Amino acid sequence: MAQDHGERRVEPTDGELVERARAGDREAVDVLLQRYQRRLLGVVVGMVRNPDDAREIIQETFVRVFRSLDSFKGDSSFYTWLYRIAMNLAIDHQRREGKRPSVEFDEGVAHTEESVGRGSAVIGTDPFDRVRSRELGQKIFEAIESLTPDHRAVILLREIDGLSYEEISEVLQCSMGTVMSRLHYARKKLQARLQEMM
Amino acid sequence: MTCIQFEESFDRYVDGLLDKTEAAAARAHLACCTTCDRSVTRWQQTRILLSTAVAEVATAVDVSDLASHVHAALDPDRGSSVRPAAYDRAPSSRSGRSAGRVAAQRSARSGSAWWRVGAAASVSAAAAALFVVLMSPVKTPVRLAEAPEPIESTIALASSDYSPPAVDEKATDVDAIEAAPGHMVSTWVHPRSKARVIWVENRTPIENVDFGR
Repeated sequence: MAQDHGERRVEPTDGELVERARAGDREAVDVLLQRYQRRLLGVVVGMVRNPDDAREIIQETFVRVFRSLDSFKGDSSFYTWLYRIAMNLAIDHQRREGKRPSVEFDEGVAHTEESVGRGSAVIGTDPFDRVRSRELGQKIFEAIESLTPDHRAVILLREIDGLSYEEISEVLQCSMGTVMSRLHYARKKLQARLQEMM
Repeated sequence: MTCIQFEESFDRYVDGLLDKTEAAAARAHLACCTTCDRSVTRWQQTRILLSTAVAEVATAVDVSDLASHVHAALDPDRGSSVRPAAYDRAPSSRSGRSAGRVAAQRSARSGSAWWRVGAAASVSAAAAALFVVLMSPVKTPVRLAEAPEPIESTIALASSDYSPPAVDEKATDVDAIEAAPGHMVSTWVHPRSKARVIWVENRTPIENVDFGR
């Protein structure tokens, strides 16, 4: 899919892939999927916690996006549009489902530096480490769930996907001031909540 | 810089968005204010915990077949009524997969649909699993795959288009069966979408459920 320009391979831009996908290019759809499915997954998992629900939301997001490509005008970037749909689905899911029982983490999940996001906390293979890691993970998700969906969305978009304040305001269709205010509140609340739990 | 000023700059500081002058002032403040310095340290720890916890769950999600399911949902041969919520998953193994994964596919059946249920044995936690599959009269058979892992939490699989009937709306063509003690299976036609809904309600936790035609 990348074009050769001498020795330098240039990856197609999102805009180029969108145009090809509109014309029915299935490969372009696959490239966009590969490009964004994991990125979306992190933030959606943070929103809904349940991996199965997260996968379903990601799938629904891509189906909606590719079904409505003709209506995508390009006044925002493709990925902020994609994120917007995903976050709306995740927020709707949270509001619809209400509080959910905890999802148990799988003890067998390997925890390596490669598997974590920004920053890393390497946990050894000692079973007590795994239990502590698991308990800590539970506490983190409980703390996230103490935030409203709107606050959760802001902090996850910033911390998990590294979106800028401007990009977050575009995704969530709110002002930069609102983004910064929600982010500040969410950080303080998350921190305070974790302090209480530990 | 005062503590109040630092607090106002906190988010931009931890996000690396202060200009050189502001950043220097912030660092100078942190060098002599243990309270503010501690708040930054705590946030950095929280940030690491947050990204680690999310990554641990996210990396365990199998998306290798996501593309095929998206394409299947977009396939024009299926018609515009394709519902993207139904897909197959391979049985999960203990390592690296979350418990209680189930899958559904859309049914070809119109009219009353009786489902043969083979419920398996023991339960590991008290929870009720609720499955809703929204069907439209298309030709692909529905199969709810086995759930090899104990279902420990309430799980609802619902099409994003599904909505319960309103108070004054009545489902039609209702059919129900208690397939096994505590396992109610009913089907009915949604009053607005006219799609057939299969409603499965498990009042006791189940380990394996196999629905077949």
